[in-house]
Amino acid sequence: MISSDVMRGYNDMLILYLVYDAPSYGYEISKQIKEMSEGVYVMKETTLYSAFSRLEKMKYIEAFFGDESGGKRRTYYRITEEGRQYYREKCIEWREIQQVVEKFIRK
Amino acid sequence: METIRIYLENMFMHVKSTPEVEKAKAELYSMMEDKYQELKKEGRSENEAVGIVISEFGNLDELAAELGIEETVADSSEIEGVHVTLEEAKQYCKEQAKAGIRYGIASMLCVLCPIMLILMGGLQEEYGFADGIVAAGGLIPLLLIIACAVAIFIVTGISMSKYEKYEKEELFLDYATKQFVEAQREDGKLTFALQIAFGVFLCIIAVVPLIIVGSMELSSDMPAVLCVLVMLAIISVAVFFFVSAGTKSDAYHVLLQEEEYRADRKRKGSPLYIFDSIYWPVVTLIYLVWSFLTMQWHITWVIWPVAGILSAVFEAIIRAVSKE
Repeated sequence: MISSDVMRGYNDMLILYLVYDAPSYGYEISKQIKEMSEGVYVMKETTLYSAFSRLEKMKYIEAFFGDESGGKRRTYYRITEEGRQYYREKCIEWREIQQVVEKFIRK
Repeated sequence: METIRIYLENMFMHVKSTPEVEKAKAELYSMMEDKYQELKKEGRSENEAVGIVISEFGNLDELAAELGIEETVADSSEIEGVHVTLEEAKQYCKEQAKAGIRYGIASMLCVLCPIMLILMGGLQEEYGFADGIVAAGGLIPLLLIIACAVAIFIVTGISMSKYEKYEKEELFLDYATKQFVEAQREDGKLTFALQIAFGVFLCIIAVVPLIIVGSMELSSDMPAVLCVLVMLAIISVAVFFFVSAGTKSDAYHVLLQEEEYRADRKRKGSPLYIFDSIYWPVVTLIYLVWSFLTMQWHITWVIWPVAGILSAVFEAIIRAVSKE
């Protein structure tokens, strides 16, 4: 189980990845994070919401109301052009971090 | 689902309502609701689903900066007592349940320890063994079994000693943790009741074979001896259930500060704390002085049951007086 402290700085990237192709909503995103990490990382609701709210302030995502066929009115999040840009920068940053840290792993 | 709504309301109880806060609450509720529905669809019980949703909710601290409520959050963290986080509570419940099984096994061994001795005694009547063989064949297994039991008690006790502060000091559990512990207990209630009931049932039927054999007026004692062994075996299983179930549920009493772990007992200088720390030593002193002066040990033991009942009376009085 990875704690959200360790993931700090990359929570935003995970969310942007999940709304990159199509808008999504809170629970769907948290479920996908859990599934993609094979249960190793479970993002808490409060972490998720604070990330949404931060990303929205930075204009990386936009919130809008959507009605699903089920009938529940949910807040959906859609990525903006700035968001995509930011996501790509984060990816490059991660590659660099990974390369640096890798050098310090004793084999 | 109602529990989740109340939980959320309580988390935000001291937070001033602003449009941002209301929005956050609504969105958090929606996410929790979705998760709850999905868990129910997967076939989880109501309590389980609520427990998971609450345990994965997270911490209000994380929202503080976004919502501009840092002050409120900081205030609520200045509560006195040992703070038990959700993770710690979970770990404690898990370890306590494991310790319960170990204590249960050790208690079971204690009940079973005279088995060989009884069997050898029975065989001696039948076949006329020498006393030395009976003593060796009976006592050595008895001592070995007791040694094992004591070793288990000590090792388990040491590994659980890190949680002693939970029993001795005042605890502070945030709302999420408290909810989790209560949900856990609610979930385990049926199992607990069944274990105790089954244990009682075993204790009652344990003597049945002995009664039947006793009524048959047999010439040999051997059947009766075997029945005693069966009785001990059945009782040992019952003891296992009592001890393991009791130890496990003790964790909930400790965390929720109930019964002997009530907060007013632990507060240093409180009337109950003072009472607890002097009552039994004083009773012991009276017992010893009285016994040694009169040498009437067969009578003086009576002080124990009397003191036991009186302690409950004193406690009730102290509680009633200190409330006023």
